Amino acid sequence: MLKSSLMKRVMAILVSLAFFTTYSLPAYSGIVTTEQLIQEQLESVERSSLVSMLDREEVRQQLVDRGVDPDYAKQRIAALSDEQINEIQSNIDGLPAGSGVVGILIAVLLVLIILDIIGVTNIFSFINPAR
Amino acid sequence: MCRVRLAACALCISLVVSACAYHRDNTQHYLNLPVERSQELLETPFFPQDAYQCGPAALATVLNAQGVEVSPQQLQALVYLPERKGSLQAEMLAAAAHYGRLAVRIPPSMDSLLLELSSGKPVVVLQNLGVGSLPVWHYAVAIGYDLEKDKIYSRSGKDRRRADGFRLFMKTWSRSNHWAMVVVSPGTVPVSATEKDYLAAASVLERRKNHNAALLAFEAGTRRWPDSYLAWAGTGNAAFSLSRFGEAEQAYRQALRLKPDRASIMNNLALTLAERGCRQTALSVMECALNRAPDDANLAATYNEIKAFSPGPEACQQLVCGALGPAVSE
Repeated sequence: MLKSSLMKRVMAILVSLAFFTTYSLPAYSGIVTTEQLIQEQLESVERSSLVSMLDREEVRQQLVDRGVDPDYAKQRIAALSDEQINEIQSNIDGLPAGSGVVGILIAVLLVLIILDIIGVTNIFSFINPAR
Repeated sequence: MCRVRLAACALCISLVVSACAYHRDNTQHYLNLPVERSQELLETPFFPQDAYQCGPAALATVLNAQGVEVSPQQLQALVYLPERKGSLQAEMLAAAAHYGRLAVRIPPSMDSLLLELSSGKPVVVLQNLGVGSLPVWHYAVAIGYDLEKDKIYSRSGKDRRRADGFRLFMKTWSRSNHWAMVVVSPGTVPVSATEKDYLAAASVLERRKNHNAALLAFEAGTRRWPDSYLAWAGTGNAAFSLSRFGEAEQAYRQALRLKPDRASIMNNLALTLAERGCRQTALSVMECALNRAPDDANLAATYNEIKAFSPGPEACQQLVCGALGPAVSE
């Protein structure tokens, strides 16, 4: 038991080390990326919060916690802009997640069929609203 | 009694008539747009969605339409969130860059949707097929419309060709604030895209270090928006990353002509000049930048880095510090 929790800790440190070495920005000077330039332009209008490596790591963890393969989570985080990281970090479970119409509960189904017939919703293609 | 009945009848008839008139009004407005009366992108592939997989299916549809051979199953790993049983908008926008394509958000209006379809681009839309408190979020791909028949056609879920009236389509689409995106290959700018959304999409290619694609995309941006200093700066960044320093220099100079006070672009220009053997000129550009932003640590680091370069031939074009208008002189 003790052994496994120790192993877990070691793994956690190794994983985060691997993460930071891949993602941390070089400490020396360099080209200012276009994304940063866009951010600069926006900031003259409104000051948005800066996204750190820790924020990215947190969102990566959020993805993994929600069932994403850890290797892919890394790739997915790398593709997101600071703005998107902010958005997901603060509201990952509240944001719309498009999933489609499969797998709705039966009770809900009935309500939706009625709403479909009235024309409020449009889930079922075989129902044409009565109008 | 009879009068009441008559009145009721009249009321019914007028309701029916006004409903019909309204029905025709649905598409009236769009007849003024510079679009075809009807359009259907029949070649658009179709991937019937598996359980909850409308995100990967919709993305596969538009990527394949742009010549990327990828299946919804492959895209699952990039855009599907198992616990949420769905796909987030941010990840739908980010994933196309894995395949060297740009996913561009388009302005939230039926006008943009029709403009894109008319120009031959299928459009991914996010709909809420349920209601506000009982949302059923769904990605579909709009593939066509008919203004006369009042129909929008889409690849949606398990339907190869779904046809909805404009009003109903608008209702479900409006619940996502008319969220929509198109996928294009580098070099193409979607007809309805704004500068901001387009450059954000091109930056994803830069972020993923696909510099060849980024260069094509930013260059196309400068052709669409010649006055966009960000499009020029992006072109410079992509060229720099490909070690095409001559092109990078010209692009940065153009960006500074349009926006003479951007210290960060001076930073990039100076690094480019240093690479071209123009150490002295690069240092003077950095002095100009540091005058504008004395506390910027990155600028200070760049200055020191350039100092370490060995002096070159020095037949270099100077930059007039902070000049408005043409910022270049011999």
